Amino acid sequence: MIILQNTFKRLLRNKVSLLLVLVIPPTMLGLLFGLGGQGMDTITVGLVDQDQTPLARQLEEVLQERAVVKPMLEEDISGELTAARVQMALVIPSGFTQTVLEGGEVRLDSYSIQESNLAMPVELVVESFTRAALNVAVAAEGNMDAFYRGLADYRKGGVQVETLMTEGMDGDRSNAAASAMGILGINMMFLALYATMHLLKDRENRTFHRVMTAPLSQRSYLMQIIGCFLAILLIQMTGVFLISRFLLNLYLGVNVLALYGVMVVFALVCVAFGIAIASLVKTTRQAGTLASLLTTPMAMLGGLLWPREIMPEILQHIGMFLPTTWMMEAVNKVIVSGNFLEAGWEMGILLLFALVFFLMGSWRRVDISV
Amino acid sequence: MLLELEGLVKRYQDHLAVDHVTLKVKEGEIMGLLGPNGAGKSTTLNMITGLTRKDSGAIRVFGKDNELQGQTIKKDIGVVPQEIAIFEDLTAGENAAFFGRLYGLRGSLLKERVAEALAFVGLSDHEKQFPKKFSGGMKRRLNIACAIVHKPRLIIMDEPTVGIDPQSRNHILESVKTLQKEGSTILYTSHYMEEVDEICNRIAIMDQGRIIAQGTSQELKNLISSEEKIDLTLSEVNYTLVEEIKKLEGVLECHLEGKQLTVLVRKNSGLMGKISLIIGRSGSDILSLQVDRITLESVFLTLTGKSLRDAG
Repeated sequence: MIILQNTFKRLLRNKVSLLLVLVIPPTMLGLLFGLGGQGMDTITVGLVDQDQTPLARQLEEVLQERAVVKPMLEEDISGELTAARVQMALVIPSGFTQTVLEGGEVRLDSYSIQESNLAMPVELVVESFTRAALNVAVAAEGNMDAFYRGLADYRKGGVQVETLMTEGMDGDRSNAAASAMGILGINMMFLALYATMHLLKDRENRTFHRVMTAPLSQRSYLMQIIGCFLAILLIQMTGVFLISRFLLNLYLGVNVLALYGVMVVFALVCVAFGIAIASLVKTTRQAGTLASLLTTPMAMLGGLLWPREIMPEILQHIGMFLPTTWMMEAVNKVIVSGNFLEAGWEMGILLLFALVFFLMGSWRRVDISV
Repeated sequence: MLLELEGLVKRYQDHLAVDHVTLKVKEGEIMGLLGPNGAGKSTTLNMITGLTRKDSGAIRVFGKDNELQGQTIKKDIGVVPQEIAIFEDLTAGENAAFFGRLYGLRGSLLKERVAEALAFVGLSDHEKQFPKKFSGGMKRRLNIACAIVHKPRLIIMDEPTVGIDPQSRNHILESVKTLQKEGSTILYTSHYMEEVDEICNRIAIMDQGRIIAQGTSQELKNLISSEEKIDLTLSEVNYTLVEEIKKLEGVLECHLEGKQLTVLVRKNSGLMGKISLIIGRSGSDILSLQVDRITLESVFLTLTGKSLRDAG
């Protein structure tokens, strides 16, 4: 364990690795998601009130309990939604109150960005309110005063609509969790490669060769180095998970431990990738060039920076040959299902990548001195 | 014998780096391996320490085959590499302790040995300092401390004095002598003849992968005892005079470096007059003249036909 302890001590003394372990990943996450920000379901609803009646105003008040309400015109809906200034737009049509009082079929048009589930609770509140208004209207039998009194009683009463989201099905929060894992993945690759540079520096200044003149096998040396790099990556990962969960209040899927498990497997891939690079090149300069040629495309094509779906099909196919793609596939599955085994196929492929990289990296050199 | 090399061969493609080297080192002696850069010294040492695999031949250390019992043998070997192979991000004490632990030292014994090793190389006051603040000589001394912290029976030193000031060099040479007195056997490589001559009990001269002569300093010098070395400083340099001098009967070797002419001649050959005549004819004057005692340099010159510096 001497090599492991020594490498660990030296890596943690190094300012760059400390930055990569403790500072950069949380900072990136903080900048992206905002301190204590995401996950509180505060949405802005654009309201187009073409009815301008007390009932429409009451509906607005009900909405204000669940969202920030922004009055707007119907022609502005598209622009406001695409600019993300509102997450949902609701149109109260002219004659809305009249239709309710007459017990007719009430139709409120609502607009939101496709695949976003943030609007769902608001839609339920609107539906609940209009249903209640219809029931009160039937009971009031056209008496306007009785109708508004009944509606006031309804609002005062214990009838509360609580929206229970099915965990894992909350698209935006799941996407945010996947993005956070993407950022962690990039940082893990960089840290693994930085650690590899450290290893190569030891080769350049011949301390590695000196260590090899001691009674220590090359296999033992390599295993201890792998153990050290893995430990460093686990520290980084654990820090990011804790900060994401408790400081940034990020949703990390149904089963955080399962997600952590996926990232542990990816950590193995990163370490093996670093070891493979160290065996392929001789100098830190070569490693730096190779790392920058490989890491960024791996992150982009693997979907660590953006969803793979937005890329052309040919690039998506190329991405299938990269471990980052399979990591993100596994992350997306585990966030939704919470079941580690659900991503068994992806995990298997990641482990295969790790094995191939390890074999490349541990190919025993006959002449250490070369 | 503490160390035996027998018919050792190492080839890199078409280049024969080590060519059937046979060498025996007795317990308690300092064996010098003298030769220019590229002579095959470091490759030979790398094969002994297991960093380079031999193509053929045998290496026995402490009577054990180094291929079969490499890990056992390594426990009792200390290596001072040619490069300063220390961790710049560990303090001097941490460096020595790390290497001590690699050789199995733990606890109070480790602390004691680290203190001893640093004291031995004169770095006790710098134990808590990082080597990046050290001078070249101090780094070289720490390089040695890391090799002797576990008190090895055999210490292999590969050019331990390269690129350092005379004061640090003297310190290192004295340390080597002390290590020998304390019972260590040392295999010392260098291309500085003076230091090899000063500290080594026996010397093997290596050139182009082969050991061309070995013995004590005196034995090597006796090889050419029938010769004299004449050093002349000339006012003008004329390369044709070298060829003319070489043609003289009794001249074994002639070599010009700057304005310094070195001529190896048979003892009592009475050639001084003829040499002066050739120099005078070439339009040059003799500024100084010295008939030297035989040195390892002249031994090397006679055996290889080139000076150590040129060969490097």
